[in-house]
Amino acid sequence: MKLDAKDLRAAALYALALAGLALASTNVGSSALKASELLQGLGAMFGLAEPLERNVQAIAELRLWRAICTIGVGAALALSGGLIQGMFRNALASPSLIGVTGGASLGAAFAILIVGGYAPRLVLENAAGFDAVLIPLFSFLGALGTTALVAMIASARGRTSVTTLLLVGIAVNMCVAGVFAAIQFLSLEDWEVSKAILAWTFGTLDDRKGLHCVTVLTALALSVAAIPFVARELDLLKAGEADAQALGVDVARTKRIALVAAALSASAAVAVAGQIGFVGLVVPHLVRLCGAGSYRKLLWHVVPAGALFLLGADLLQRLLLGEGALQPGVMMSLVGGPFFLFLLVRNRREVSTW
Amino acid sequence: MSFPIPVAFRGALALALAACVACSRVEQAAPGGSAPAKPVRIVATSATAVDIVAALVEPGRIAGFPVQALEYSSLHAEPPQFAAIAKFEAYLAEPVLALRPDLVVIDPWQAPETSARLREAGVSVLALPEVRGLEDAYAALRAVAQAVGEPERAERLQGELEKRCEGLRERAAKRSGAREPLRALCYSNFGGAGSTAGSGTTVHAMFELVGLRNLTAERGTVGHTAATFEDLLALDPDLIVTSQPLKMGEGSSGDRGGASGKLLRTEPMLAGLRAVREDRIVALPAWLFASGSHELVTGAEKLESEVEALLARLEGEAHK
Amino acid sequence: MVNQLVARDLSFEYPGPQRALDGVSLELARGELVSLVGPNGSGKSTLLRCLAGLAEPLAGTVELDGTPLSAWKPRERALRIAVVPQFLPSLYDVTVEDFVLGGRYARIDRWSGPRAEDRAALDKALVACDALECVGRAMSELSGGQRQRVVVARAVAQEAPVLLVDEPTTSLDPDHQVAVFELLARLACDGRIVLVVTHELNLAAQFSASMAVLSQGKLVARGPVDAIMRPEVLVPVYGERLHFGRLDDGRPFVVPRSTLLRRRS
Repeated sequence: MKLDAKDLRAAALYALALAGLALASTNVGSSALKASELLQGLGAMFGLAEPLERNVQAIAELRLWRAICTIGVGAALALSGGLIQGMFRNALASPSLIGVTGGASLGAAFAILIVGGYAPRLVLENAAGFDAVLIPLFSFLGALGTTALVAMIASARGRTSVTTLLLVGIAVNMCVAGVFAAIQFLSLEDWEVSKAILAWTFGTLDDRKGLHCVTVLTALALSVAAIPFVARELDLLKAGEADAQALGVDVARTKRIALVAAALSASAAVAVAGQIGFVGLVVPHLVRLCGAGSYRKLLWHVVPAGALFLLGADLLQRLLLGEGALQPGVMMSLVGGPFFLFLLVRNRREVSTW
Repeated sequence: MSFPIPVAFRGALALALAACVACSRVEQAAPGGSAPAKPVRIVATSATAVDIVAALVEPGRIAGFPVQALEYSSLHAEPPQFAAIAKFEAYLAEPVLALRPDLVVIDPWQAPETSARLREAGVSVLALPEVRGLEDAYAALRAVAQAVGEPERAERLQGELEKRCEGLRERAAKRSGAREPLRALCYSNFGGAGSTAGSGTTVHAMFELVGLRNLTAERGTVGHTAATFEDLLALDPDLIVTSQPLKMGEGSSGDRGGASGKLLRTEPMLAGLRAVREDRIVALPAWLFASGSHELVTGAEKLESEVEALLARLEGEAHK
Repeated sequence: MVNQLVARDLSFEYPGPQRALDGVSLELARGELVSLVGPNGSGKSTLLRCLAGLAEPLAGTVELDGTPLSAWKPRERALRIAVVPQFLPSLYDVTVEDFVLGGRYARIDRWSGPRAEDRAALDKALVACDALECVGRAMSELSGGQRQRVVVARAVAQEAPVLLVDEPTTSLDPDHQVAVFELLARLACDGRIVLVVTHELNLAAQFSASMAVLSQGKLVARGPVDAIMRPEVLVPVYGERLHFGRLDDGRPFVVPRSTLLRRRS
């Protein structure tokens, strides 16, 4: 993990592209805000300029939080996808396999039920002013809890088999989806609540604030810190667990770290922005297409690449569609499905069951 | 050479044939559904339908309504004369048929399959028109009146409603003579995403009756749409209208406006909103906020009293 | 420098009625190539995995110069024992250098990356295994022979004193088969402990110092080539459809022969 001039140049390029895109993204919004005002408002956040009128200042800040949140979510999902693909030794794996998405949905649905007034009054009064934290918190716990459950069942006999993990993941996802469906059904008559649950599943980057950014960036940082401990190991795992073990890889430890890191970053992303699929699947692939085939490179590249991908896609569609812009989760599903098909057809020879 | 058909297949074929015969028999036995001139076992299947039916017929002629109506319709206060009436959970053929209805009044969005089953069983099903405003509400009222055989009653009721609306408009005109009409916005957010209502909604109709400017409609939005914090901040309305679920007490100011009201009051990013700073957030009971019936006039009146209380308070504060 | 890899009373079980290994004891010494032969399903690969410390035996011990393998962490074990696997997936996006450098995993520091000595070991291994021509290509682009040489090169780059090789000649033509055995014999001569699991009885006979025969999880014979390449030893294990003979130089050989055809002629 030595940095040479090439790596530093790449990092600088990524930083520049991210900053540029983020700035461009803050310039797009539903209200008219002059570029000069925007810059002043952003500057004011760092004490570099006089703050704008209170509400306009809040708009500028909301736009910056949105951009930062998008960066964090894109990066976290992409890193999670890269780790999961390495661990499952399958380039078509994604974070939802280990129950992240399903668990987060369930958590969010519970939180929305509480916010919507289904909890006893006592809980509500204690939770007053806690609403904004409630949904991210619950979906985060839901995602981590579900993943932990999957991992625990799959490693019941001391070791985690990837095949078992996959099967248990599918089974637990089914159970969670069942409960989620039940909640959706039972809340169907309360259309405000059922709409909120449905809207959450589309994912959103609107109305984000500092707390959301801190959540996703902290989780991202922790997961990034795990990269040096699994990157070479995941490369060696490509030839199978027994082979990697023979070369001296602590396979169990590698899987444990990769699983925790992947679950952490994906959970935070989903908690903060709702369900946004396909970033975790697609970005590692784009990075592979660009020539970073080894996990030592890929895991580092997917982080900025994921951020650029989500930020760029979101900016592009908001520019093109304006008021009619789609929620990011919807957009990603629309783009992701066809892209997945394209990958399958293109990588036909690598998919052994084709 | 004859191809031997397995016994099971032949059995299935026979069963299918029998089923076809049975089906056609049912259809023959029930040639469409026509309600008697004055149906006496009426089932209303949505809050809106309950509002209308309850206003037009005696409780004795109502055979059943959904439990949700206790929350979202004019029956929310559970008047004792309605207590004995059967309630069902969901709009499904079996629970509705069990009530042996001669007329079922439904909302246009309710499951068409269920309606089809009911019609096949010989029950007359009346689908309300979609209500986008006051005129639609009157039309719905007249349509139900026709079906239940109470046109005079509907006419009388409509007359009363029109008079109430006239009163609302007059008072609104007086208010707008005294001061600029309030720039208002309806907002609801249950944690998923915020939303608001433009023109062509019953909320808009209420705003019009009370003489409020609907900022969402002024942006050219028709129907319900998403509303971000940025939208709220950019519009900075004089008044925000939210809904108040019945389950939550009205009382402490922290609870007013339900989840949406609480969000508006506690979200730091929105603290600069005029409506938040000056506590210009009013809540409509959920059953009126979402009403698709003529009860929207009641909603407008409730909104008016909230607005007047607010204006009186603001006036008092101005004097101090 | 190590001298002896010793297995004592190894037993191993897969779910099923039969034991995969049943009380196998085996000693391997430095400097000699030992071939482990036996019919399909006799437990050869399982024994190799136990000897490599990759499978925990049900009973019995494996010790390297007196230290049980279980005492080592994976990394420490890999410094001492290298394994050439029988089968690897195609590895589309892995270059030959990266693959061979994988053999240095246990020696490369997580933070500073490969050093000059690792590069040197890589080059040396590629030269020793005659695999220099493969440099710069992806693993999936290699021919069967090249691939086998690269896989052995990785184990060589590992610079472990023990080398355990699982059926290295499957799907290789005769010329490449000989080349691989020559390479393994040379590696043994350099002072390593080398065990090769194989079905190629004649190659084993030609290159090994001694042979071990495994049948139904039991070690049924162990000794010099001449003592093993005999009908008394091999017929009970492999059956009767074998023809035994001697080459001009007196070395024994055995070829499969159909009893059906013999009767017909």
